[in-house]
Amino acid sequence: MESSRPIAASPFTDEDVFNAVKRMSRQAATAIDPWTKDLLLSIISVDRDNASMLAGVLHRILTLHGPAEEEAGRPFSEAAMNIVRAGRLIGIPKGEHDIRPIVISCSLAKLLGTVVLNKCSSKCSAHQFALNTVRGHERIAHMARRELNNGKVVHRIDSRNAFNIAARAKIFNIVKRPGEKDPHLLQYFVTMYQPVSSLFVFGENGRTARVMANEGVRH
Amino acid sequence: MDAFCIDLAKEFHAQHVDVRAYMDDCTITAPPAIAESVLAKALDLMRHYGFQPNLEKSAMTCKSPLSDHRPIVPFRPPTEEFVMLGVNITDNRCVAIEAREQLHRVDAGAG
Repeated sequence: MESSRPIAASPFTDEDVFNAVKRMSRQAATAIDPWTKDLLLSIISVDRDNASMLAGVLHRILTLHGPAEEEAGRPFSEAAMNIVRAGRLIGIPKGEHDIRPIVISCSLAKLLGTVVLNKCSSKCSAHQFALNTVRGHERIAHMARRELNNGKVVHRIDSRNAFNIAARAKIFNIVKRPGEKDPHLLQYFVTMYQPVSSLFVFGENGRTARVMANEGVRH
Repeated sequence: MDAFCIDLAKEFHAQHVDVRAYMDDCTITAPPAIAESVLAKALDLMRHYGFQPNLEKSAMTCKSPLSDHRPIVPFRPPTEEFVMLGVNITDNRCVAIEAREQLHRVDAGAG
C-alpha cells in the first residue's frame, strides 16, 4: 500500500470528542477494554480539559503515519499502537454449522472512528441506509414491498463475509479517490489498517490464540 | 459497498432501478424487462469491488412471471416467504401490522 504522507488531518477539539461520545450507543458491545459511553461521558463532563486531552491523544493516534507526527511530538510506541489496533475475535453461531466472526475493538479506536466520521467531508450516499437513517433496515423492506406490489423485481444479494474478507487495497483505492479524498478518513484507514492487526481469541481454560489480520475491516 | 451502489445506480440511471444497502446487505428493485441485466451487472460490480456474492443465499422475486428467465440466483415465487433484513416482504399481514403500529403511535402521541 502506498504512503499517505502528503495529507494532513486538522486537530480535534474538545467539542469533537463530546459530539462523538454523545453519538456512541449505550447498547453497543463493550470494547475490548472496559470503557463505556457513560464512563467516557462522566470523565469529559467533570472537567472540560479531559475532553481536550482526549482530543489530543486521538489526533496523535490518527496522525502517527502522517506529516503531523513531528508537530505532535514523540509518536506513540509501536506497542501502544498495537494495543489500539488490537481486537477480540468472537465467533457467533450462525445456523447449525456456521459462525459469524465479529471483532470487539479498543475503545480508543472506536471513539476515533466516530470522531473521524463526524469530521469527514465525504458522507455515504443516499443508497446506504445503515448510517444516519432511523430504522433504515425497515425502510428498505417497506420500500421493496411497495415496489414488488407495483410489479418490480426484487433482488436480494448476499455476500460472503463482506467485512472480514474485504480487500484493504481496494478500499484504500476508493478512500483516496480525488472526489472522495478526506484527510481524516484516509489517515484513519492508513493508521488502523496499513499494518497487520492482531486479533485475540479467548478459548476454554484460559487458552488464547492470536490471529494476524491483513485483510478485512471492522464494523 | 457505497461505491458499488453509486456505480450500479449510475449504470441504470433513469431506468427505474433502485439500489439500497444496509451495511453489506444489498437490495435492488428493477422493472422485469431489465431485471436480469441489472442483476448480472450488479454481480460483476460486486466482484470488482472485492465482494464475493453468495449466489445460493441470494434470491429474487416478482409478482408477474418473468419471460426468458435464466436463474442466476434462485427465484422465489411471491406466494413464498421472501425475508430481507428481518422482514418478510411477500406477506401482506406485515402491512397490516405496520399500519396498526402506526395507529398506536398516533394514539400515544395524541394522548
